Amino acid sequence: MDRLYRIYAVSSILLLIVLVSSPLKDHLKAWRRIQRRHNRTLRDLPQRENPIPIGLKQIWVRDIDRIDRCTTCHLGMKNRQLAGAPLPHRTHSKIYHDVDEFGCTLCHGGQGLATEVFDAHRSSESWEEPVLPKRYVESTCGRCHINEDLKETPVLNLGRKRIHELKCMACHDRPGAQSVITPTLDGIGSKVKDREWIIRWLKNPKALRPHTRMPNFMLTDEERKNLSDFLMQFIAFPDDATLEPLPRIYGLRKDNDDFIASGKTLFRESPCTSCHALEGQGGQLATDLDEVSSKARETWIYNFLKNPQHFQPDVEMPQFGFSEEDRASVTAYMASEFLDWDRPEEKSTAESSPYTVEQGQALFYQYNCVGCHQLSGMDTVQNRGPEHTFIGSKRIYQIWFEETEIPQTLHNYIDTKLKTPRVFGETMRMPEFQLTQEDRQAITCLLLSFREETLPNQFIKRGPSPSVWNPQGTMGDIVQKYSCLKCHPVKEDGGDVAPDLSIVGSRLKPDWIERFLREPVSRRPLIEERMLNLELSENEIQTIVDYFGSVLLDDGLAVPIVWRPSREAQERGRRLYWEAIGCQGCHMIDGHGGYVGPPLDDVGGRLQTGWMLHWLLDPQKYIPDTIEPKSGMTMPEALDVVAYLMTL
Amino acid sequence: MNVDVGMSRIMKKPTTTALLLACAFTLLMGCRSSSEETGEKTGAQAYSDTASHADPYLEYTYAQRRGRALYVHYCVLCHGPEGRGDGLNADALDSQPRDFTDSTWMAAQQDTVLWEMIHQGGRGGERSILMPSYAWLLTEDEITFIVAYIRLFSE
Repeated sequence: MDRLYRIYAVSSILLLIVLVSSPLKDHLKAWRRIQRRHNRTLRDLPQRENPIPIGLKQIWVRDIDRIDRCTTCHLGMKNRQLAGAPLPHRTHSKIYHDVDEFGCTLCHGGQGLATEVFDAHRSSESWEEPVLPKRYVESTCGRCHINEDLKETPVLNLGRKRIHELKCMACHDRPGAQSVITPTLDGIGSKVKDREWIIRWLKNPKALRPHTRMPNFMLTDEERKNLSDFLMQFIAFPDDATLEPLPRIYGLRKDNDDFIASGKTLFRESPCTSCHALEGQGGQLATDLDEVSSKARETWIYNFLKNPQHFQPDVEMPQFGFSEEDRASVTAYMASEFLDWDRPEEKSTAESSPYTVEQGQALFYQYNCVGCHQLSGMDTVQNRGPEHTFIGSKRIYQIWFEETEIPQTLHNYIDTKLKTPRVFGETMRMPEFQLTQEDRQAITCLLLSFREETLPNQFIKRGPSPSVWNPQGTMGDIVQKYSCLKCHPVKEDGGDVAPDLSIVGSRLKPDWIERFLREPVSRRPLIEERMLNLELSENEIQTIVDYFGSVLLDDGLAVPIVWRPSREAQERGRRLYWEAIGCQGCHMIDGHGGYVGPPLDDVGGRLQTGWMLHWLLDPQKYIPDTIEPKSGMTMPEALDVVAYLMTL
Repeated sequence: MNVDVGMSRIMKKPTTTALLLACAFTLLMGCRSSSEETGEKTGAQAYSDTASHADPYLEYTYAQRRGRALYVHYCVLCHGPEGRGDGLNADALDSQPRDFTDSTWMAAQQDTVLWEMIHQGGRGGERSILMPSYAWLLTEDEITFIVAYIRLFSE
């Protein structure tokens, strides 16, 4: 019996220890310690606050069926006094949504139900989604604000812009992708002087033209030769266009210095560098023109200047109204000047043969060149990459990390892939884009936002779909011929480097528009891109001025009364301009003032009065992202300033 | 009395001893925590698995990132990309824009002073009117973001 009692006693003590260990472990949990520390911090604050009761805290968002226990440790989220405290006690930075309606993990990722620090923040085998690093936090904004460029999400906006510019949709499908104009390679065999240029270009495009968007496909020497052999077979231009022979005058005078000089003047005055950069200087709306005469034959350059869309359908280069002689002189100038003087003389000696052409075709298919470059006969076969529609929801088991040492999360994978695309395996085809770190961050952020969404509809907010402005008739022909929409936004369509023409009839005086179209003189000191000297015909100018004055208007800007301002008003306006508001900080008059805005030298003859008045009262109403600050001037003050400006 | 006899008799029984030792061992195992597991689950590694990058921009707070976007859009033409007051427009101005890299001056200014300067323009700090007032253009938070960003220039 004694022995039984002993066994009973010992085992009871053991059982007691086991029973006590469980509540003891719960009592010693990290979050309790943090909560007690938080209460001590609250006690030591300048404005002492009541302690928070110790216990689990959670936010239960019923709409999306999530329970987030982050506030168990992050207690100081809404407490303004704790802005400088260490994490996890710190105040949350400005949030744009109600935390009780959205929870925490919807925006930050992580495991909301966890109460241990590792389980909540890191990814593990049982929970793949870690808390997003700070730099990718905007990706979750993109889950709901689809295609909406908010000012609160600068990184996401940059990602959208870059992904469009770099034409990722050439190989990867994704939601909301707008197709971009792709240069056709038809006729390249008749365009280039010989295959050498293609071989050099394929080696490293950015080395030849810094602003190009073509990435580096890292081909071997033999692959480059084969691909160039394949491409040189394409000597027919699209729609059976043919190269006209160069005019007689070209042959006679192409080495004449005066002829070349007049071509140079025309080149400078058009100005071609408004869109095409040379040696890094100039606009970036079109391809760089460095060494273009080492690439293309003179006949091709001449023909292209005559009618760009004939040889590259849908290209946005306008058709300049040059005479035959002028065009020949520009071609002669380019042929004599834009050459690669350092070009190595030895050419590759490998022969081209049907075998190499076939190898080239296989390469063309392998790297999906047709995604960016049209080529007749190759359009029907596409060899695209994986879809990006739901890339933000990709599971870790679907990703092959090869032998890289990076931590195995989705955002690390995407970032590394963008930096060194072929590190994850030898069969990878993605080319190298040589992106800056900022671009990589922006693109990764955007890709992370493409998720297989199970959120209820009231959470999703789509941005506006792109609008199209398509004028008909004579005006439509003019807009098509001169590619106005390449630079000018009109009715939310078009480019963004030139002034918005949506209400230009109410902004500018018709006489001034007419003078400007005859001879555009650039007004703004700091911008690279200038209005082109298109040599429009009189009929065309008249059509444009009439169209602007009768269609592109804003009735709210009309000044209904005939208003003759007094001398006193003009004087008051002058003092407001120079001494109270300080407009000369950004605007120049008679050479005195700043470079930021357009000079105001003859603004009285240029701008409509109604426009001046309403613009001064609220610039952001008409151009939301203009730098001109709304100065808060009252209506009488604005009338005085306009009175002064009208005298200029 | 009986205790010694009882205990020694228990110890002599191999199965009981083995059972007791097994229980004790299991209990101790349950309480174990190796240093390596602790390290990973509670140290800095517990929060994030991405190493900090060389580019400081990636470590900005939200306020600094927003401030940078606003600064680059509205302020850089006069105040310069590095905040030295050497922007493209600076030569055209009668009085030079503030150099934010001057740490002594910046340290002496409270955030509210800088905030008022942006909010009211030159008038706010009795300086040149060439600095415009942004009270009508930027919200209060946006001005706070810009102040957070320009503080970085003097670090």
